[in-house]
Amino acid sequence: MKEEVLINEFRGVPNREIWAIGGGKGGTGKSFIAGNVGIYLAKMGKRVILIDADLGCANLHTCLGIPYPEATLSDFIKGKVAHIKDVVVPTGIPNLTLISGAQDILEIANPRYNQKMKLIRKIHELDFDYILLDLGAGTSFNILDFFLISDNGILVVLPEPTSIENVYRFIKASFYRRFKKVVKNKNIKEIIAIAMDQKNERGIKTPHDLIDQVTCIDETVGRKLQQEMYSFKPKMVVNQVRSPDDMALGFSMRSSCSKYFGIGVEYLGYIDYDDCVWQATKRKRPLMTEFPYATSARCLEKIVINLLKQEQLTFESIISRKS
Amino acid sequence: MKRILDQNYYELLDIHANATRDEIRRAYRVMKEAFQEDSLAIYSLYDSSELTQIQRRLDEAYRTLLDEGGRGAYDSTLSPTSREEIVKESQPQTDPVPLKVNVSSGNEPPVIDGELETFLNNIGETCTGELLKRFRESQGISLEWVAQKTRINITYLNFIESNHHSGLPHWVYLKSYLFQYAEVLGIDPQQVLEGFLKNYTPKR
Repeated sequence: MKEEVLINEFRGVPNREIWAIGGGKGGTGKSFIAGNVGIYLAKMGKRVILIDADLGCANLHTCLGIPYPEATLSDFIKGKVAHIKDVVVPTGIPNLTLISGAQDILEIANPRYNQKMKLIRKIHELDFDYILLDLGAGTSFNILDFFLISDNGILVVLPEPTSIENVYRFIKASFYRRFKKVVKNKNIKEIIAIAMDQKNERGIKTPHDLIDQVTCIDETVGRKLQQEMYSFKPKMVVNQVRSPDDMALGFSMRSSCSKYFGIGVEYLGYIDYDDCVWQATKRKRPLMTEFPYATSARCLEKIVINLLKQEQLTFESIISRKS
Repeated sequence: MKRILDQNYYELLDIHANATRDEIRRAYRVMKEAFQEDSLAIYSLYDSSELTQIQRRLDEAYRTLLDEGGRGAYDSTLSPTSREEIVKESQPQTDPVPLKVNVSSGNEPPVIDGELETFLNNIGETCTGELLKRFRESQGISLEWVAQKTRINITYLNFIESNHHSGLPHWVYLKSYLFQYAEVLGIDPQQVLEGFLKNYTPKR
């Protein structure tokens, strides 16, 4: 079965949602958010599985305070175990299970194409209410593909230029990857590949430029790409917020994405910089169980509620927090 | 969604076609800040020359839409479909959001009253520190925020707002302070200077 058909067929399977947590830069809090969002959903009675898809740099087990499991993701990918459920381990938290990457083989960071596709197929077959994928840093094809199979792709950004730069890069890489998958014409695929180089000779700098050039070749494909752009709606979380300007960054990044990329990023919420976070991490315990009343825990809860209600953070909710 | 420089003034400011003057001012202030050279939100997206073009277009949009006659003439150049789309597409996602979140009084910024509205329509004729302060507060902006954004000593900003003329610096500096102050508030800086001079004798 061709890759793009697989991915499209399994997108948005009813009664099961896949949430992918990514964002480009390392150290922004992806594993922290994935783990604790999973805990909160589990506490709500949802059946949740966390998958450490940060191939080669797995950390979820540490964030959750779980000892090294006997069977991990690479055991499944390498075929040491027959079924993916053989690597699902309990977390000690009711309703929450984990597929860990702890002590995975080193070469797991570079799975073969068929290994990746096998994993994607099996993820879609899992019977849980929520499947949370903790993605690694960077914009490798593996990471982008995991992000693109999700029903909710969540980008984690810090209010720092390095993180912002990487998130924008991630966004660009994601939808160019998505474009390539939906286009069959070889010439147009090549143009998309060229566009991924910011200094390309065709002068394609933004998705608008790309769509213009594609439309000149084939209007139907141009319209299809526009539709893809329109339907690509990643969510954003700003982590380690220290000031009202940091809180408001999500709104201005949303506006920038709309104007530059032509895509509708949704601002889910922010998480306060909180000493409880690093204290919990140091103890190898999740924030939600170690410090359930911390402000950062409250922030995470609001983010989950916004996701479940398919809503965004409003400006009024920030106004009510006077500095 | 069009390229930013191809967007009409309403799309550029992320406002609907029926936006009030207050909404236009607020949106202008938000966008000016978002598209500044050192703005985090646009880091790595635009180069300096693109930002200059965007800033110019924002100024154009602001001046045109704030002027009743200008706005009417501009609106007549838009197709009926465009106008409908601007009204329809004004979703919460694209509504402007002030970056400044310190509200100096209450949870909701006070509405501009009739006197302030008159002041805004006649800034070039009369502009006092007290009126500038009332307008600033009506937008929910703290003086600390203005000081942070303009890097003007808050003492001088206080002097400006309290009409404490003897404490104000030389006109060469005061002119620059007033200009920057007006810009962050989203008011025409030139008009502010003209109006302020009518009530103030500069130190020479």
